[in-house]
Amino acid sequence: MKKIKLACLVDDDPIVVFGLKKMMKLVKFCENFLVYSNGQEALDALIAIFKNGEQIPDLILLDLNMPVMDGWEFLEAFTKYNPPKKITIYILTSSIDPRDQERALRFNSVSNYVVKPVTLEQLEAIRDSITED
Amino acid sequence: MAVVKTSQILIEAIREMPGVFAIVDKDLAIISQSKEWDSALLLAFTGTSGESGKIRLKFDLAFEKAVMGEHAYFVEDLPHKQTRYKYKFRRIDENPCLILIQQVLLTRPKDYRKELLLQETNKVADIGFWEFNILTGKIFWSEVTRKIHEVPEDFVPNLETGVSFYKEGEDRERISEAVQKGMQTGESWEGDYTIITHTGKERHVNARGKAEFEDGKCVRLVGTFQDITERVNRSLKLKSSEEQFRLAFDNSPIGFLILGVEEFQILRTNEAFQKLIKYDDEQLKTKKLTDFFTSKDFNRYAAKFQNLIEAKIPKIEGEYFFQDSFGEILTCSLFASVIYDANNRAKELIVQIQDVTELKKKREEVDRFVEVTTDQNTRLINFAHIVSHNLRSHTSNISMLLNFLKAEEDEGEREIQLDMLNQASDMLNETIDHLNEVVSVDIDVKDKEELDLHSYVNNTERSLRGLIVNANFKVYNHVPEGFKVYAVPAYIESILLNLFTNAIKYRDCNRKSWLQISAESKQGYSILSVSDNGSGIDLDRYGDRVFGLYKTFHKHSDARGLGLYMTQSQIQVMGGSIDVKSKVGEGTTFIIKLHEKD
Repeated sequence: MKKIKLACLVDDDPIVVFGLKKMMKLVKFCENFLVYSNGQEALDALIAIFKNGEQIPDLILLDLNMPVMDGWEFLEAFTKYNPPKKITIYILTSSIDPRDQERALRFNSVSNYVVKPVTLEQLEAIRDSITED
Repeated sequence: MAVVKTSQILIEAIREMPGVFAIVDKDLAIISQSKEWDSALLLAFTGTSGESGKIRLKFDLAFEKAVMGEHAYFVEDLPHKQTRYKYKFRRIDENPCLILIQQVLLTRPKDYRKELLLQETNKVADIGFWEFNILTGKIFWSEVTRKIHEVPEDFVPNLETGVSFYKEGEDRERISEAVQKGMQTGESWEGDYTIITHTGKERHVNARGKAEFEDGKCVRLVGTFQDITERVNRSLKLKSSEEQFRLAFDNSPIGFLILGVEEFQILRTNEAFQKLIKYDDEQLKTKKLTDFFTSKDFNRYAAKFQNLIEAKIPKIEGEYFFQDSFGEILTCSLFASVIYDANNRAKELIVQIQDVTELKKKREEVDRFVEVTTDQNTRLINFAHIVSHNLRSHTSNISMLLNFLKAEEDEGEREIQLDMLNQASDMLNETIDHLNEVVSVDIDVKDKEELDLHSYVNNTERSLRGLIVNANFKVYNHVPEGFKVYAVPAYIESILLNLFTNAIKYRDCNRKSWLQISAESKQGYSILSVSDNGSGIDLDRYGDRVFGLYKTFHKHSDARGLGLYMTQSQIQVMGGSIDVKSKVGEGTTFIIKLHEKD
């Protein structure tokens, strides 16, 4: 069984970030993670990583509602880049609007849609889906 | 001197007499005959051929009568020769019995043909003939007369029964009077009557008749019957359909016009049209349809009606504008068609007009209402989801933190988590406050007033003085003094405050920042324009979300994503609209459109 080496968390809510970090540690989710507070920051950083040949994350956990660049825009923009390695994207959101879920799943790069609050069990399931691939 | 019997003289005499005569004995042996007598004649009557059976019976009957001393005759009808002969029989001697037979040409071919023709004509025209011989009391009814009365073949009419066919009451009295008068004065009569036929049917007839006199004495009544039932029924039907049309025409809620085809002059109108066009019947008599055309549409309408008259188009149907007596333009639904005469020439135009101005207005109102409602609905659904999202994001944080706290043993960590729990709770409160603010815009519909915009701008500037001074910001109030807007005071305050705060918040710190506001009145709207030279908004990217709830585009700690959403809601509730133009790095202009009055 392989391990998730690097995960990427994109969310503007510091409490969510705090909670997720804590839970990730508990379930030994990954070895390292990157945190960005909106889509633009994440996109800029990831492009730089691709360019510089640095370590590419295995997984992105993406919030939808964020300032500057929201999750949708990030998906639109990110889809245009061809990452050198497959990156799995999970949407994490407070929205239970079915239109949002449908829209999210229309992106090929999006694996699943998880409604907050995220539980330890859900994190484990996400972890397993990646490592068992 | 021996008495010479008259019969003897006759026997001699007929040999030389002109005419067709024969004297026979009772065994039909010819004693004497005139030169013109055809010897084949007797044989024709007494022969045994089947066809002559009927005529032979007549012959035998008449001959027998004559033998008994009566005058007798019979008529031989020869349709193939178009001739009719009468044979008269007279006993000229009793002992021995001698019978004089005379053949008289009763009808010559010429008359026969005439008679036939008349008969046929009568049949075709359903004209029946009748004759009443006053002297003998005998009544003759022609075939058609019998048919009209629907009598059986063996029916024998007399004067009594003749009159009793007339419908009891008025009809019968009228005919009796007419006949009485005719018999006294010789005046002929003519009239339409109702008769009840032998089988009990009601029938309409035209009866004509006259009395014939001999030596000043009325001897005969003759007359004709014509069956006019169909004609009467047809005209009754026509009358009733004319009546129906007239009723429909007069009482229809749809305006009706009948027009002449030369100049579309008005021939007739109904009340509905008079009401619609607001002219009375008398005034309309001198008008033409073209008088009601609007000048803008005149040529187009006139051409259309001309095309209809010339049968280039079968009908006119659609929405047309007409001008009533007050010059008011009416939107009308119109239908026009042509009535043709027997020669297929356009005779009259019939036009139906209905005023749909109100209907159209109402329809537009309903359409507008539906649009507003649909828009509101969409906004409400979006709002519900936004509310749900925002409340959920805090409550999910709270539940997550509480879960941590339950298991957390590290005191330091617990404190951090409790602190975050406090933050989450505060943010939940704040969100609820925001939502109250938002909801209140849609719930409290406040009254609009005429407001002096210039002083509202000044007041806004005053209340933001601290911020303005701090940011070294400049506000240019270009609203003309005394310029009025029709709006809810609290909303105008809030809108100005929001736009000004945004301009200050998102100013470009690299240059001297300013905002200017101007206003003008245009086509029933007050148009406000608020421009700044701030950092601008990338509309290609955020255009559809500028006025969205909880949409923020700047990484700015103060951005709540509420201001422009509120501004738009307040403007929309007042029936106005807001638009934005912007260029990143140059500035932003908001254009607000408000109705000058309700």
